[in-house]
Amino acid sequence: MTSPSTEMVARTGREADGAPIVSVRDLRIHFPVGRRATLKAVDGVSFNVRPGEVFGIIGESGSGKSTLGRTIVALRKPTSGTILHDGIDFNALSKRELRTVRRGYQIVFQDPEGALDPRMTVLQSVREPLDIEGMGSAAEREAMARQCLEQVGLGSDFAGRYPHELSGGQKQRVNIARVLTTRPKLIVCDEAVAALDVSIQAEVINLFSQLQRELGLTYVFISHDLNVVAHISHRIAVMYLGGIVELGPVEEVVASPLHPYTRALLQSRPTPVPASMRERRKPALSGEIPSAIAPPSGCHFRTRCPQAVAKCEAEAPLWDNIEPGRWVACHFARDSVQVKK
Amino acid sequence: MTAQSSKRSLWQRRHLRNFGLYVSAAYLIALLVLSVLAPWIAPYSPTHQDLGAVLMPPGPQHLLGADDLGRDVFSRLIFGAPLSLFGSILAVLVACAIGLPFGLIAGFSGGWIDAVISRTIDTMLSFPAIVLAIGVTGALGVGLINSMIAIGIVFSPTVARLVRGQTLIGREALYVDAGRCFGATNTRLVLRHILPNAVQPVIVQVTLLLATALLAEASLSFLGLGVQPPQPSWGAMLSRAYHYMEIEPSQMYAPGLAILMTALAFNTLGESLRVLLDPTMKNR
Repeated sequence: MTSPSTEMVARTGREADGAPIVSVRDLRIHFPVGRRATLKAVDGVSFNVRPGEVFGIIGESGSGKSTLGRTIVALRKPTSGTILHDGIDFNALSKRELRTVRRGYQIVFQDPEGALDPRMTVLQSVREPLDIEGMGSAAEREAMARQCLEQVGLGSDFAGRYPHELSGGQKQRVNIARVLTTRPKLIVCDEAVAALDVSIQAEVINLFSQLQRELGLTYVFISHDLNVVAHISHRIAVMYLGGIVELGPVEEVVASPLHPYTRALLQSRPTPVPASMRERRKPALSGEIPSAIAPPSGCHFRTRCPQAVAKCEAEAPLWDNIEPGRWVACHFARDSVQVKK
Repeated sequence: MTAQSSKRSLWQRRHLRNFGLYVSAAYLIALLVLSVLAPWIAPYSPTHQDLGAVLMPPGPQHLLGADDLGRDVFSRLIFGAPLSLFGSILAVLVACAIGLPFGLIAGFSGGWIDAVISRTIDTMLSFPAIVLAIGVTGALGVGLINSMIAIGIVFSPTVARLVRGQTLIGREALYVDAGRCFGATNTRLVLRHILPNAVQPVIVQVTLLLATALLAEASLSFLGLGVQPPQPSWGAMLSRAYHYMEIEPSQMYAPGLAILMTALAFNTLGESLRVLLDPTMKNR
C-alpha cells in the first residue's frame, strides 16, 4: 500500500533536511565511580535527528547507547555538551516549563513490565499522561486513551486488566499506546523489543513501522541487534565505547561499511544458511568491550581492530564527513573509500 | 492429579485466609460493640469495690474473678476495651503521621536531607524504646493520650525507615521515569506511584505495631505513666495482676488473653488487607 502520504513520510525520512527535531552537540555523560575514576558513558557525540526519520543507534552493551537515549528524553543531565529539542535547550527551562515541553519527547523502555505501575489498570496507565496534562473532561481523556489502545491493536477488553495479566508483547503495546497519548514529536525506543520473544519482536517492530507511517512519527531506535535496526531505520549511528564511530544512511552503511567495527558487526550477523555451506572465517570480533572507566588511548576500538597500527594508539581519529551524509571516525576510512573508487 | 491437588490447596488457602479475616473482623466488631454498650452489659461499675471478693478466682458471682481491690474483672475488661483500642490506634496513627512523610521525603530526595533524617532515625532507634517513651511522656505529661502519643513517637522511626527503604526502591522504578517523561510533578510521582507501591509492607508493619502498642500501653501503665487509676485499661490490669502472680495467677488470664487475641486479630486483618489491596494477588 503506497498512499501519497506514506510516500511523503518515507521521503522526508530520507531526504528532507528540515530543522532537526533533536540536535546533539558534543554530548558527554560521565559518572563518578569510586574515588577519582569516572565512567565516560557517552564521550563527545554529535548528531541530528530529522523530523519523520527513524534514527537507529546500534552498539554492544556498555557502549553508552541507553544512557544516550535516556539523556535525550531528559531523564539524565549531560555532563557537558548540548541537546536542542526543536531548538530549545532543556537546561535553560524552569522546572515547570520543562514539565510541559518534555511531553513531546517520549521513551519506550526495554522492560515493558517495569515501565507500568503494577497497581494501575491498562486504562489508568494509558490515561495518565492525559490526566497530567489535565486537558478535557475525564470522559474525553478516557475516550482518547481507548483510541490509542485501539491504535496499538489492543481492544477495549484490555482496558480493565492489570499488567501482570498481560503478555510481554501486550505490555509493550500498552507502553506504546501510553506514549502515543502525548502526540510525541520524537520517541526514543530503548531496546524496545529486546525483551520480547522473536515472533513478538517482529510484530512490535511492524507496529512501530506502521505507526511511523500513519502518524509521521520520528524515532530514535536503539538496539544491539543490527537486523532490527537496519530493518526499521533510515539512518544509523554505530556506537562503540561512548562514541559514534560511523553514521550514515542505512543502505549505504550496510552495503559499504567504512569503519572496521561496523564491518565486524555486519560480518557477525547471523545468515540463514546451513553451517556447512557458510564460508569459514575467523570470528569478526574477539574479546570484550574495554572498560569505559579506562578506555584505550587514541582510537577506542584499536584493541580489537584488525587494522590497528601505531598511529591508532597515538591519536584519536577525527569525526570525518567523508561523503555527503556519511561520517566516520577511523584513520583508514579515506583509504578504504579511495580503494573502492 | 497434581493439578487437581494444587487447585484444591489454592482453594483451601484462599478460604483459610478468608476464614481468618472473617473471624478477626467479627472479633474486633464484637469488641467495639462491647465497648460502646459497656455501661449496659457490665454487671458492675468498673470502680465498684467488693472487699469481700478481693482476689477472687473466676466464679458465678464474678465471671472472671475480682482484682486486688475487689473490683469485677469482667466489668473492668469491658470498660477498658475502648481505652486500650483507642490508645493503640492513636499510637499507630501518630507513628504513621510522623513516619510516613519523613520516610517518603528521605527516600525520595536523597542527599543531605536523607542523611539528616536517616541519622535521626538511627539515633531514635538506638534508645531502648521504653526509656524513650518514658522521656517523651515525662515531657508531655502522664495520662493515656500523652503516653500513647509518646509511644507513637517511639514507633515512628520504625515506620520511617521502612517507608524510606520502599521509597528508595520505588524511586528507581521505570514507571516513575516514565511518569517524569509525561511531565508529572514530584508530588504526583510520590503520591500516585511510589506511596501506593510502598504501602504493602507498611500495612503489615502497622498491624504489628497495633499489637505492640497494646503491650506498650501495658508497660507505661505498669510504670504509672499511662492510664491513671482508677480508670481501667488492659495494660494497667495486667500490670496490677502481675503483682499477685504468685497468689492468684488467674488474675492475669483475662487481660492477657484479651491483649493476645486483639493483637492476633489486628495481624490477621492486616495480612488480609494487604492481599486485598494487591492486584497481583487477586487470583492466587
